[in-house]
Amino acid sequence: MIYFGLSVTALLGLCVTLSISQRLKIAEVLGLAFLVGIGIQTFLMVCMDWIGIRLTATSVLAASLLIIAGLGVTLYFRRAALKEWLRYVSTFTYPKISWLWLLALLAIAVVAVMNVTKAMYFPTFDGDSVRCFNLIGKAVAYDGTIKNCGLYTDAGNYQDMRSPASTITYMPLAQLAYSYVYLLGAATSKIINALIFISFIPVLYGVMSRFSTHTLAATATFFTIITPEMLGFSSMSGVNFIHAVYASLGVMFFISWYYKKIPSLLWIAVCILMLSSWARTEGIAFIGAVGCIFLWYSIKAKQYKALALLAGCCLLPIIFWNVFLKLNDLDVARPLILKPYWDGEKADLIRREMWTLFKSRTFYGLTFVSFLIVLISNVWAICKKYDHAATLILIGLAWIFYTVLIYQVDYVWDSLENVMKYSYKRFLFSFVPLLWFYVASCHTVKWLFGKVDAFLFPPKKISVNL
Amino acid sequence: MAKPVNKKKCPQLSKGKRPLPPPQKEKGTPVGRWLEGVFGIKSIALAVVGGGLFFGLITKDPGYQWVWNSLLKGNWDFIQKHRNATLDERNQMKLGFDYVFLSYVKQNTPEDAVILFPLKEYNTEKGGDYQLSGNVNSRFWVTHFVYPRRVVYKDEQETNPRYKDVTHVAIVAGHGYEDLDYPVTERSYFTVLPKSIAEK
Repeated sequence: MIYFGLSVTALLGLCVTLSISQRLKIAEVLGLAFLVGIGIQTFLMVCMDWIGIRLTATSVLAASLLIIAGLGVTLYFRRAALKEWLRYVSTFTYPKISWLWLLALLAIAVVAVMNVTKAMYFPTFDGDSVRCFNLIGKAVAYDGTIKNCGLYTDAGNYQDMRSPASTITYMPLAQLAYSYVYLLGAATSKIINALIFISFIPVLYGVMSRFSTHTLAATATFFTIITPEMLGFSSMSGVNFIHAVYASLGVMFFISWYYKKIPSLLWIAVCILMLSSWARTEGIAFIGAVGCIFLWYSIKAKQYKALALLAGCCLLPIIFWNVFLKLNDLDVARPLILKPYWDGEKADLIRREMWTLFKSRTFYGLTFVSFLIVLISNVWAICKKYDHAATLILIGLAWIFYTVLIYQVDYVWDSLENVMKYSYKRFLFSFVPLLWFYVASCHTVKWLFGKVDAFLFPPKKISVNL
Repeated sequence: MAKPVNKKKCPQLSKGKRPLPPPQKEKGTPVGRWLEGVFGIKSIALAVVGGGLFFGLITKDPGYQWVWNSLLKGNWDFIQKHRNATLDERNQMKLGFDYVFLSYVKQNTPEDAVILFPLKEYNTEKGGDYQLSGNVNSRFWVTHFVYPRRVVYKDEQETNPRYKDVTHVAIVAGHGYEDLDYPVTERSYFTVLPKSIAEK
């Protein structure tokens, strides 16, 4: 039942992905199938609950199969688009095999197998997941409802559940994904974390290889996934890694659209960014950054309709979830200071803790060091050719937006120091794939790896006998 | 700043009925040359040098050392050694006595039970050879293991409306017997008992 249910999820994701874009690589489609599928399915669960349908394995699977059938019919009438995709993937060219590329792929495979084994072996044990994400998953599966879940409605929990930063305030993707596998009869929810990790790798490799050589893409993918703190969290039930996957991939697809100008990649980016805000409210920092770049593009290209659509779509999950909470008496006051203010002590503490994190190789390995070295070495290309300037601006804006968000929060439930040490540290996971993406796609590194390829595969001289 | 975008060169963002432009054929690899890197001495030499640098760097860095020695290899070896462990045993490996006790509470109470835990300061006291962790003082942490049963603490007598509905008492480190409506002669440090004879 579990495998059937998860296959339905992947099929749903596959249908949605192929309906949106016919310009995705096979690796990207394979990875996105589950990532998009589970996001859509959790969205579907909230819709079903809202209209009063009890959440059971049968009802959720039936609704998913109904949507798959609908999308199948749409795809049937858009056969040309599907053929277009098949034609596109048939242009796939095997990379020239180099041992360095194979070595990187092997290293990725070893890390993936070991990490997935760990994720599947140990049940949920970390405090945040036990107290929040996994508990909600279990409770919703048991009660068959979100809005009337005993965890939220019981008089004994009522006060705790409505305190600032209560578990209710978290966006529901992870919790409902866990709930879905519990509905399917799983003993633990860790298969979700394992599948998200394993789906992330091919998509990351696929997007990176759009901008760099296969060897470089494989190396950068490897360094992304072995980032110490991020790898540690990827096998736990926390939501930070899940959010990092959606936010970073959304931004990468947006950058792919920006530089390659393939329209459907923009809508894939929008879909993934929607899921990033469906996973965590902080996804809004990336949506804001993408919005700024797109606004600038729209002014230049005078295409405001798409801008409005992008903004509407990306903010839809946050609006939808908050309306759902409000109308079902599950809303709590957010500890957010909406007016601008200046607190020098607070700002100084944020700055100090931030630098401690950036300097930490124990948490992020070589990520920040490599980025800094590559950035400096690429200054010439940035100034002369605007090399990946949009990528840099986007990363910078997202980081500024999130830091401002942290500054504007009124910490009534915990100290700012703890938030910086733990929450901010985990939020930076979203930047790790982006920084490695920049390293792999910037001019200097591409030039260097181009030389390596030329060394390995020198162009053959053609002798012509007249 | 990124290059300014020329509208004329940009494809439209969304045009449902407009046929897609034909995919551009990527620069292919002739079949004959596909495998040449496998046998090329340069490729092997580069892989040896690159691989050496790659792993040299990783083994020198404290973060990556932790990833390999503890997170990946350490856990892999542990899992291989205990590959036949049941889910209960795996829970115990990570959560220790907390899991053992809370599973016992779950198995010995009905689903609609409201379980009273002692004052929070007593919950981490040692009882015989066993002791619960501070996590037990979190209602939601305990609820995770006993759901759909409800959890109340003795500290919440005035604040929790479910206090009056208590059906069972969790005995922690010998505390909690005073909340039972009947005397108990054979006492153990950790157990769960019905609050009244009627519940029994």
